[in-house]
Amino acid sequence: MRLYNEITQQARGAGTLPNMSSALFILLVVIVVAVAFDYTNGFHDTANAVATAIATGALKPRQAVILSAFWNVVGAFISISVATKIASGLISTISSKTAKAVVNGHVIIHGVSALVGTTGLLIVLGALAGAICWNLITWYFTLPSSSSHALIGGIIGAALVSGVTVKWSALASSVIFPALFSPLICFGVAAISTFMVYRLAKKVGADRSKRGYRLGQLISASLVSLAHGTNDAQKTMGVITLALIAYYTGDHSWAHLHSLLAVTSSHGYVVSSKFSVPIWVKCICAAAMAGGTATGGWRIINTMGNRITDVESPQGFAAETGSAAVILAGSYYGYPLSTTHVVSGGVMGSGVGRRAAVHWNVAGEMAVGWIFTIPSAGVVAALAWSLADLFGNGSAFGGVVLAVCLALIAAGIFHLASRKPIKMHELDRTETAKPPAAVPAPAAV
Amino acid sequence: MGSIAAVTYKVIKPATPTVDWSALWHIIVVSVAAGCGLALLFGAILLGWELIADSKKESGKIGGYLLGAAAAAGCVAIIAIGIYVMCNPKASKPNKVVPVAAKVG
Repeated sequence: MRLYNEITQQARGAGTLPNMSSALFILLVVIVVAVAFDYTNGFHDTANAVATAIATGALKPRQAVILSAFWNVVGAFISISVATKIASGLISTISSKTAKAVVNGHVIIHGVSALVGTTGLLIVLGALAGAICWNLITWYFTLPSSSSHALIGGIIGAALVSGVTVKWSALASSVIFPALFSPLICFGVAAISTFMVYRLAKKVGADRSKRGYRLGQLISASLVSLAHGTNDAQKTMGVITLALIAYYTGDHSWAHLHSLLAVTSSHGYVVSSKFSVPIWVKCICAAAMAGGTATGGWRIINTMGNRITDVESPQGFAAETGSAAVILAGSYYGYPLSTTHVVSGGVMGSGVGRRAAVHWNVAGEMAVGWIFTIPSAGVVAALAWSLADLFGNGSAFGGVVLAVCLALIAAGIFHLASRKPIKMHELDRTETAKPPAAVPAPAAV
Repeated sequence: MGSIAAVTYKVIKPATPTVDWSALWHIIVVSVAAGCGLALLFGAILLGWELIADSKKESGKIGGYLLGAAAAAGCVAIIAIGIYVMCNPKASKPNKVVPVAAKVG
């Protein structure tokens, strides 16, 4: 307890230990904004996971969303390694003198020492603001974009302007490099497997093949959603947990921190920690993603399922199994991959494997979006953090102003998007759907 | 030219160790094996179904059942391995005991 008191006094002495009610208030704002980010993640990643299954008529749109939400939750319960990586990954030390004293002097809990108190919460808030803005902009232009990269870009932007050191080598190895190779690998896998699937399908009757592969797509879409749940979907869970850690480390409430992290003690020393994401965080995140896909994911599903290439059920099955294989192999060997990048590569590869027309101009638009994701989200996050910081270091009022500005921007983009809506029933390709399901014209970029 | 080479080396050098080529190679091999394997095996299930439904000879039906069953077993095995991998990612396994960092209480 002596150490606990010492740390608390240090932080109070420097005047950065927050008033607990204001810290709690910022924590609540961060959680609400993080759930909003997951909602926009539902527009992109979760939608991509089931896009080909909807495009081929294997699943009705609503069934696909429910299936995806279910497997996302299951994925979050069977593994939290990516959430751990996000919460402990890119940011190393904090520049605030007091926080540095806290971090370097006494409290170093393996991997989660970076963000302390309300300063840390505002960095998280700025990062989320940058990521949400980029997700909404790309959603408006119907471009599938990686929510994970947007979030990472946001973290980097907010961290840099607030003086936090970013591990650039970790960024290159775990973000940039996988972003380059993952679509290419999935492209190759999907092209080969589509070619083989169609060779086999010639020996099976057309009707049986169509029905069989539609059934197979239930399994393959589930696998991609499960892979997404164990991988991409955990990033927001990691961020919310990071915010909780920042709040509790700011409070220095060891009892809470221990219960949160299940810190293992041996002979009175903290020797390691087992990171855990609270169950309520997993459930809220999965629900927000499903809500996002159900209300706005159709714009991205239309691009992925209809605009890149015309997808048939054997092709969709090959693209999805290839995507699931690449995501899982990447995760296993320590490269968390973006579902959007992998599935996009898979859909393009399956088009090439079937020798169908692939609209490379759409692919090019998507690639440009991917290149700008990290810098753009980073710039917006830096601006967002600076805006919040105008009202004082770790100011709750700054956090509220930022959240209100974000809500206004989001409302504006939703309003613009509502002029060119893409509705769920327009994408229904099942045999019971009302014909004809017209594919809306692509939005100009 | 020398200075350009030196600058280029400085830029490239720190990035070189960050790429784990061995892991990348493994990812490619495993992805091709699992992705293509699953697609092929599922195709074999459909082929078995075709034989069962359309074959007039009893031996053809038996062949269809055998092919379908073997392919289905293969599919289940790949999916089971995939789920096992999800539950036990190699990267998340603890390496060493973390050095003593803080004394509590």
